[in-house]
Amino acid sequence: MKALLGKTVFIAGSEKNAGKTCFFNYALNKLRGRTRLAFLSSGLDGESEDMAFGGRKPRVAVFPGEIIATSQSSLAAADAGCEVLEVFPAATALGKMAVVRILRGGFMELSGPASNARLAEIIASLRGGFGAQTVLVDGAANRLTQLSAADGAGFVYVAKVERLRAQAVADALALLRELSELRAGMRGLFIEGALTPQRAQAVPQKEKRIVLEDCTKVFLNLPQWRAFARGRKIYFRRRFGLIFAVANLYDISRGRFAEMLKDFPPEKLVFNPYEDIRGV
Amino acid sequence: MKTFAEFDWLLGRFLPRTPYGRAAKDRLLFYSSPKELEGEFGLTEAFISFAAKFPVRADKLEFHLARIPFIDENAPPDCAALFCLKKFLLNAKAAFALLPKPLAAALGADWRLEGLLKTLSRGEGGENFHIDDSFSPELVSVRREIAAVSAEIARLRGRTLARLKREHSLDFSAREFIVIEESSAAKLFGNPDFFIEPHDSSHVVVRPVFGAQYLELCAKRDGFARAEKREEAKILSALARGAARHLPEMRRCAAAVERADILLAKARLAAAHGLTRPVILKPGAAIVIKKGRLPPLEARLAAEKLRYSPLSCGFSGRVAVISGSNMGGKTVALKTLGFCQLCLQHGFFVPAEKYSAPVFAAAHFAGGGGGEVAGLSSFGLELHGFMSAWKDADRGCFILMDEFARATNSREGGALLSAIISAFCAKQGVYAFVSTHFSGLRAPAAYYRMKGFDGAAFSGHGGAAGDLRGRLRQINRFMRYELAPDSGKAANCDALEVARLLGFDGGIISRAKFVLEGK
Repeated sequence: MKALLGKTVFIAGSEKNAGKTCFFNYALNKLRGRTRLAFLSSGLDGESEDMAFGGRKPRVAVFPGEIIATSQSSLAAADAGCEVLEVFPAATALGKMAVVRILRGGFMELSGPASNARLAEIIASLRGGFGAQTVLVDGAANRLTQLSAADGAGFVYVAKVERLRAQAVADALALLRELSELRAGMRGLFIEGALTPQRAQAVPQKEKRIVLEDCTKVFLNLPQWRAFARGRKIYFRRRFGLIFAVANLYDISRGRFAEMLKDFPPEKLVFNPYEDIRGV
Repeated sequence: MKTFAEFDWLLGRFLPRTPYGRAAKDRLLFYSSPKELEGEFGLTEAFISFAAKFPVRADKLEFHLARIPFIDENAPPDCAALFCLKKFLLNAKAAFALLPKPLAAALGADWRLEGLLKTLSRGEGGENFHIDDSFSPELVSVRREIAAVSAEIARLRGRTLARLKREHSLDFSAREFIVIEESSAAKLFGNPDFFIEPHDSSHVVVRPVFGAQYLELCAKRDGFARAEKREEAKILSALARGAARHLPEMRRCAAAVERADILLAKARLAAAHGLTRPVILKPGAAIVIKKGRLPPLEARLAAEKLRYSPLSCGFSGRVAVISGSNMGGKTVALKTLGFCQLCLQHGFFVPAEKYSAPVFAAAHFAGGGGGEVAGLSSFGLELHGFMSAWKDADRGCFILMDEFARATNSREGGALLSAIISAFCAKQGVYAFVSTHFSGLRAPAAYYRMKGFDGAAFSGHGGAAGDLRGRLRQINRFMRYELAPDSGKAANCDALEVARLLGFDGGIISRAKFVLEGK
């Protein structure tokens, strides 16, 4: 968890129930006491992601001194004691977003602002006005675009790896690795907005230096990306680093999945942190 | 008019700090009362001298204004709403205290909400807000119970986790559950310390079970937490009711905040861009502009390192017709007048050494640039623009027309423009500034022309050459962007010279001269 210290870290997930919020809680537990910690969710208006599957989003344990951003209605439902430090004017379906300091520990549901711009504003205030050193953002599943809310942020990618879909996840991780290894640069043909398969096809082959906004704007799969990148130097205006990936394995062994990943750097891959392989 | 005069340049730099000020900016009052405007200018002047004399206090004032949130009178009574109210009061009080007494009195910024602020500040003097124990003894009691039972839960949980680690080597300290191979977990099956469920075909999820006492304690804590919420809700409602009793005073306070914010922003704008107080004239008096500037153009030219010439002119009548060379500055002259007049009408200082003008009920750009109307040609759009302006003619109206009827034949266009100018002259409340290339207009207006290209100065210079940028630089250097009364003697003969300077084909220019001379 050292890799997360001092950063704004988005926890992104490959899909619903990938284990993102579990990892978020795990990371919180590991980071507590080691850094001035603030955390929030990037869930959109009322998007309490597990609501889609019939259950409320799990509440997060909070402890005195922690700084948290959440909505008015989540605050009203919290059993933790807190003081309000700031309220942001733009309202979501769950009320305005507020920043609070926990006075008495307990549980709290995290809900997030309606847009990336608002998210950026809140993260800036957590790091600036409220002095948070490490900001952890529980991202919505499969929405890397939220990364663009914070310049210089990194992300942890939590993937649910099932045997039948393991190759697709391996490809997604390989793509993320390749994207996060690209360097920042400004010179070249700038492609504003999303790089979709259609737009990628339309870029003339003679253009050898391409500048993209950031990795969240790449909407290509691995083969499409590799075809686009072949023979070209590609840069990002803003770089977001993959800090590491978490693979939650279902019916597939570590060895088998590692084989599929081939040259994915092992130091950037964490297998299910909830697994105990020492035996009982 | 705003688009033509590039007035957004000013609005983009006019930066009120409060939500009240920003809402007022969006409403952007168009003053038509000289008395109200004099009041606004007087206060702006007072804020300018306050900010110049006490820069630190002015910065502090801006700091507190920037921290003032919007108070939603219909917000539900919760901690967030009361936080906003407290933050509003705290910063409004600090802002009012920074204002010099005469200014505070003029804005109605006298502080009368100390009682409400004190109530909201129990237990916390800063902007932060929480429901302090001191609000109710019941709250103290229930919170004490929560603290006691929470401590008991933590002890029990800690003891259980330590025992599970000791007895089974399973560390749940940072994990809510552990995933282990089913074969390894076999000996845990049936153990009441664990809840086990499948993970996949070969692994299980193991969760610690803390026991009945733990559940009872959690239920007890939940019960106390609900009681705390009920008590807090009572306190919040009482606080909200208390605040509602001060509503008229709070509205008065918000109005004073808005005025202070707007005036400070206007003062900052004036100081940053060298704006001066305009002089309001009686209806009928002629407009005078001395070294009037069009700041967006001035900035563009400065970026290109090109010379900028401010506009000076004492107009001799209400209706002025401006002619002159191509690229000679007619349109800029109109834009400058429009910019200054809009500043005046919206209560801003003006970018001029001196600007004197009456106040109007409306200001119009009667040209084709006011957007698209389906089915209308550019000439149709010009007519449409004129008709919109003409509706306001009886109320007193400031009108700009830039090369009206340029898109129709010159004979009819000139006749139509003559008639329009005559109509303007006949309406006492209308002030109009009309740029045109038409000569021989027959209307009783005051006629002016831009001095145009200084051929004498240029002839000694040696001719034009280079790329378009260089050629534009030459034009800028030798064009005299000055407005002077038009005696009618000078002919509009700069078009061919300008064409030559822009690098136009010399043969074609010679042929044109030949035609012009009637050969």
